[in-house]
Amino acid sequence: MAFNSLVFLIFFAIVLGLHSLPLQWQAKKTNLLLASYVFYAAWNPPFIVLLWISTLTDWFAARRIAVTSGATKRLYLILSVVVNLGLLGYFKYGGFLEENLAVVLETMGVSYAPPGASIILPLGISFYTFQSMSYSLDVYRDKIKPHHSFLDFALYVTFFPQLVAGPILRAGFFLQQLAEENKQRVSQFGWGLAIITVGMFEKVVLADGALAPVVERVYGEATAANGVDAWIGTMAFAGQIFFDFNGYSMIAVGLGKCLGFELPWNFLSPYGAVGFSDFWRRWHITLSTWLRDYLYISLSGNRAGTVRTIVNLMLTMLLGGLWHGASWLFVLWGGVHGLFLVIERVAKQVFANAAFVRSAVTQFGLAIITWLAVCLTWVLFRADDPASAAHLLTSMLTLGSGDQLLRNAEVFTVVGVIASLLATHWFMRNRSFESVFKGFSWPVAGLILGAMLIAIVLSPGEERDFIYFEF
Amino acid sequence: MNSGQSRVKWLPAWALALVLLLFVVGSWEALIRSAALGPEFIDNRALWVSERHRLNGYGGDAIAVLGASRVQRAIHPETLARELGGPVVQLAVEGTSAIPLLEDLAVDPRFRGTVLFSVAPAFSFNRRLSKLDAGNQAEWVAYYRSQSRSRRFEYELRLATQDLFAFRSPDASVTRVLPDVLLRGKLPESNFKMTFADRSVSVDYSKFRTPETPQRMVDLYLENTEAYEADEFADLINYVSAIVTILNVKNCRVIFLRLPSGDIVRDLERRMFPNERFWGYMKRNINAEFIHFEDFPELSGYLSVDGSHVASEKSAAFTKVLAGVIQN
Repeated sequence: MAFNSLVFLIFFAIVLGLHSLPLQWQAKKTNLLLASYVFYAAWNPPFIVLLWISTLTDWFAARRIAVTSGATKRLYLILSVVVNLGLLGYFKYGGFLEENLAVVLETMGVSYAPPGASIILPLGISFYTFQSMSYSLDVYRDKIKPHHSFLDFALYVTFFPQLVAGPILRAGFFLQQLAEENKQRVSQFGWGLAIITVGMFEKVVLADGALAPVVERVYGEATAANGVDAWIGTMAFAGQIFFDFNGYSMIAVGLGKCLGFELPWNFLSPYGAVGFSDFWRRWHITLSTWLRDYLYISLSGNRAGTVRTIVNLMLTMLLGGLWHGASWLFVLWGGVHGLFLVIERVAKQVFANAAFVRSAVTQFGLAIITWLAVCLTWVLFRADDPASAAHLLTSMLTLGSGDQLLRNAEVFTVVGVIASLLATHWFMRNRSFESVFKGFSWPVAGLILGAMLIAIVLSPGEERDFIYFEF
Repeated sequence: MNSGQSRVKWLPAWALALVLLLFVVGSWEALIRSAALGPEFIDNRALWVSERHRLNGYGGDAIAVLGASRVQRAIHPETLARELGGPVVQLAVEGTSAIPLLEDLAVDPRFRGTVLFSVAPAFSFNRRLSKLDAGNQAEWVAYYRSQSRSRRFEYELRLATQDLFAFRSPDASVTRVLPDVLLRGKLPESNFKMTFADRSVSVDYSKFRTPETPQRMVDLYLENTEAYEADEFADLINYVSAIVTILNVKNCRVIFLRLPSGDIVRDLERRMFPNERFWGYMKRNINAEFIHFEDFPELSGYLSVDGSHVASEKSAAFTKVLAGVIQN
């Protein structure tokens, strides 16, 4: 049940109706939990069991962690980590590990053919296992106390607006919102709907309608793409993945607001970033902060010397890449970002006292360089195989010649959309979407929302799933 | 800025947005309907999957039509159902070979009906289309098999909106029509190709932007088609034969059809895919019924200007004659 579906529209209307009835808060939360299970089961009912396993494990582990100490306490934490990462490992990486094992054995002269039974990836497993596990980790670190209500905890793990593709919540942030009903819900309903509309516009009109066909053409015929195709196709993908994932995240935030909950923003104008550390503070924020807090810092972060910091950075980014999917291209994508972060770290030390670095022109130039470098890494993220990635990168870097796949109209569309996107992100660098949108007068807000709704309704694009559903 | 302030702001803002939406979409709908563009179904995966599900309800009476555009345009489902006495489900997909679907029907225990498998040389005898991934049929079949109930319901809802609103038609899309209206002051023309709920298709060849002529069909052939080598074709037919054997065990009737082509298209097909090497080989190696238009003169005289498809206005008459051939 994707957000951009008519079924979801009906589902959400029913949920909203139930949530608006004069019921006890406990009953409303129960309704939300049941609705979340229905939402998840709509894809593949049996996989709901995995959600329960994750929920029960962390509920139990955190309670035990809170009342034990030393090795026993650690043991319960290990239980949480092993169960969650075990689920993730089996369903997401099982086939990948088998394939690679076969290759390794082959090099040792041992013939091994993997059984080839395809393992279905349960929707959202990368998100809810991380979210559930973070609860046990926070209790272990004494950042929060174990929650008293199983209903609240189950809803924290399962809350449907963010269940399948984030934003990844922290228990301390969300569970306190479940203590009592938000009386401001009705008044923030209009704002919630506005966020949903903008998110839907990004997904349906920009990602699916304007950019996806170009991306599919170029990446579908990657080895035939010339330099212009490769650049335009990759710029289009940079836009598509932003509009797709930010669109999803905004819809999630908007749905949360309509139901009276605050969810964190996942993107803050990432293509206006100056440098890669800035990029990762703005892109998929709830994942990058999760990796920072639970992986990078656990590995000792930057507290153990330069070499160790570099190793920690690289490990975090490599694993962050692998989180996106069972493919060496994702690992390489994470590795290249790690490398960029290391280079930036060194450059910052070298130019620490250089005044020109802080000038507006240099900052703008650095933002463009950052964006172009990020674009190059998107090739690794999107390409179907290493050969396609290599061909596209070569075409981009050498401006490869040959017949152009794309029509001029497609090229102009992509350039127009991407130029607008970059300008918007540069303008919004130090502003929030909320402060800008709420600054409009009501007629302007009404006209913008009306125009977006019209574009959504009349959009001729094909229905496409959200990209991050695959992760 | 707190949410108390936004309450005052959002009510009129949303009222304005909704009025604007209704006005523009309503005006658009009126504009395109005034140009004789009516609601039509989009011939895509959603409609195909919906029809594939419909087949499950019919059991042994069902007649499944498989193939590419030739059979999709040639068969008039209502006429065929009337003549052969069973519900007809149109599952042909433009530009594809239907082997993945034939396999799907073979392994589906619910299907016990008749298969009309149209052999279009450009797709069925074309080595550039893998037998297991023939155009997008394999993908559609896989999607049908893995489709969740909620996605199926979603498809049904989308089809309902296509039936209601003309603006849902690809021919009426803003990106296609608006440039003509704004730049040339020209209203859109009525649809040259209409798809109906039962996936039958009607084509008005006079409205094609690029005329569909026999020469154009020949050019497309030469550009995209390469005949199977003998050993490859033998492998393919072995594979199809095994599938048909499974269907035979279920008492399904399987009929392979070669629908008419004319003029230079027919000549090219004869040259590229000689009957002896292709159709004849199929007949000798597959335990099924075979109907080739050249063996039945009554099947000629129905072609459209493109020399490759039955003319839409003649499809009902053609279907009636074809049904007679099938019954005899």
